[in-house]
Amino acid sequence: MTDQTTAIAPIVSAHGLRKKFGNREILHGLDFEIPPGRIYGLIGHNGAGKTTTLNAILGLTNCEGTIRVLGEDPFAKRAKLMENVAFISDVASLPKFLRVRELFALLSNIHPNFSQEKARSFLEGTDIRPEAKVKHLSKGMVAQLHLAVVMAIDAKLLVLDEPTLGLDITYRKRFYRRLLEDYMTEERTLLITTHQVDEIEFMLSDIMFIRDGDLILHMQMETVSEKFSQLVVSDPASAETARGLKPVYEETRFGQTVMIFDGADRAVLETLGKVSTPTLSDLFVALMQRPTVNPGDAR
Amino acid sequence: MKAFIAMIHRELLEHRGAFLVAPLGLVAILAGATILAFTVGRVDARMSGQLMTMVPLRIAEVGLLGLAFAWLLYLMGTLFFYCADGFSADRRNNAMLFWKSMPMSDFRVLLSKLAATLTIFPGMIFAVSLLSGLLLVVVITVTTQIASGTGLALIGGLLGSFVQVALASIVVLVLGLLWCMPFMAAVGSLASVVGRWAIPLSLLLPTLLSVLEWVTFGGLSPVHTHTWKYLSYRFDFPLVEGYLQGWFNADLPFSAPSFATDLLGRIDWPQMAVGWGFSLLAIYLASEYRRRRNDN
Amino acid sequence: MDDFHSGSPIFIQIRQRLIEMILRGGVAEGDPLPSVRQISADMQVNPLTVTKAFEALVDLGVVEKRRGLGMFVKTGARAGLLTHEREKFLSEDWPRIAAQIKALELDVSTLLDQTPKGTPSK
Repeated sequence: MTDQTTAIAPIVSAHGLRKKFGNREILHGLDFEIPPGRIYGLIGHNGAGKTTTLNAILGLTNCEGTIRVLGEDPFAKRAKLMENVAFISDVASLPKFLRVRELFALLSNIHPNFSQEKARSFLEGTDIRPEAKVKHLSKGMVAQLHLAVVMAIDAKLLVLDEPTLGLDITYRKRFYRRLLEDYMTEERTLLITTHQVDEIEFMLSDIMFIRDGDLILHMQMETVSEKFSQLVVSDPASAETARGLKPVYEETRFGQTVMIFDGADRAVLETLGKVSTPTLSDLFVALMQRPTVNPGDAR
Repeated sequence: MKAFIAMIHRELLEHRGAFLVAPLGLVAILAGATILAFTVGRVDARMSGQLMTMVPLRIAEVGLLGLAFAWLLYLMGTLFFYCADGFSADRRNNAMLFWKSMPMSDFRVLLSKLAATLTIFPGMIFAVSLLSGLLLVVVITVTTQIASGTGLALIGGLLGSFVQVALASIVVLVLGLLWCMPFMAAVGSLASVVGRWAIPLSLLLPTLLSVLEWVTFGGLSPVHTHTWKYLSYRFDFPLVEGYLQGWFNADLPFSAPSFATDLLGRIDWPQMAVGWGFSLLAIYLASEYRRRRNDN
Repeated sequence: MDDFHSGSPIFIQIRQRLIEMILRGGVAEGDPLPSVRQISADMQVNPLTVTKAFEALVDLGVVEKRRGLGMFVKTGARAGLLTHEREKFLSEDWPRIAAQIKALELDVSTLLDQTPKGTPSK
């Protein structure tokens, strides 16, 4: 959202990113750049390569190809990078043996960009007491505590891998509200993966769909409506005509046919039925089932 | 450095049970038992007190040294289990990725664990051993006072012995831990790879290596191989030979400086240095392994 | 609160809500609008989208940006918006509604008498 669009250094850039486990290739050469100030959604099925991609960004795994985060090779410079990158992993939990107070004290000694005051203020209004031991907190409270910890780190990139997994809707809403209210700025970049796509659809500025180790879609949310259209048709004749326009996905709901088109002329579609922009979850279902990959679609 | 010290402190927070709570508990039980023994007349204060008046300082010295040695054994045992457990705890507690989100390399994390075995843990045990030593001094003073009324006169000498033994303990702790560092590093490195399986493995490994040498190069038996000889030499710390033996047979007061100079003279310094090099290498290799595996 | 419909872009829907807010007098002329951050958090919408909605209001000339202070409703904004919205109603909505009234064979004068009572307002 800056006016000077002249070559802002990307936060993350990947070129030909590949990862093999034994003979099985998990990532088939990803190319992407993540500019600063954006909220990215990385979306894909389990085992599609989401976590591997995140691990590559966070320097937790060694990959072929080039990957740079804030200009550094994350695998070689993980320790240094973590001063400016924070993350919550889906499987990570906080050290159970610590009290909240001890955790904060420890972090303020270990992490140069951690602010104990901020972390404390984020816990105000929650049931988490400084004397509480992490192992005695509920799952939702641990998630809140972990979010307070990462938000108290003055980082340039925050990666959240399924941060709300297993939390109820109240916690989830509060979690994202906190992020938008107290954390997100123009200098910060957020990368989120989640299965509850609908909940964060409007939060995202960009989306990346990953399927079977390939990046099949990478675009700004604003341009989704320019590229994809959803058409609802009631009569079989129109449906037949619409089929001629090669929808990428088709299904029947309540006797109506719902089709999703990639790059079709909306004016033409309007004559056949009701046209709208597909929701992210509809798009996800449509593209994940698409039999042939067209790599040209990915930006 | 601040971060490194914080990481060592973190190890104490995680293992305060073995290195602080349990030893203090032991001392508390000991103190309780002593008080109980006096109150119910189990200890014949008169008799034992009279025994004290004969060679009171000698008995105090032996008692204090015995206590120090017992604590040393406790420390060695707990450190062994700590190495097997603490080096793999991050993974087991499911918090590995949290530690990996900290700006600290895997090498520094593992090094902080090794540093904890050399600093804060022995420090804690030493502090507790001082407490138990003081308890012994009090007991001797009280019983002698009851028996012959000379207990209070004895207290200066007793405290002198206490200080001598404490000084000797520090020397033994520092040198002994530096000498044993490669074993702790080896167990710790093993644990960062195989978890708590390091406990049986580290006990099996010397035997396996010796058998391997025996099978490949021949020899009388596995225990007659170079590997076995080297490991048993390397494991042996010359604590009870030399000054301590002489002191036990003669009738001299225990002197920490003489004990220390004697011990320092009998240490194989080149082997000591080799051990440190090995420790760093083992920790480095383990950290490279930890850096690469991310299945937490 | 944060239910958007898929018909039009989100920033237009947010712009529309802000317009309704000004029209209803929720924010008086010369007063500040809620911050980008506030709206973003309340509606769980990307801050860039909210900024875009604000920019659309600036283009309409009803809102001005004051450096470091945020967005303020300009004097005369309400009158301007009313004209704008009236025109929009007459050109876009009224023909459709009029056609519906005709199709349902309703009488306009009876309708006007009825509206204040029964119908639940949205």
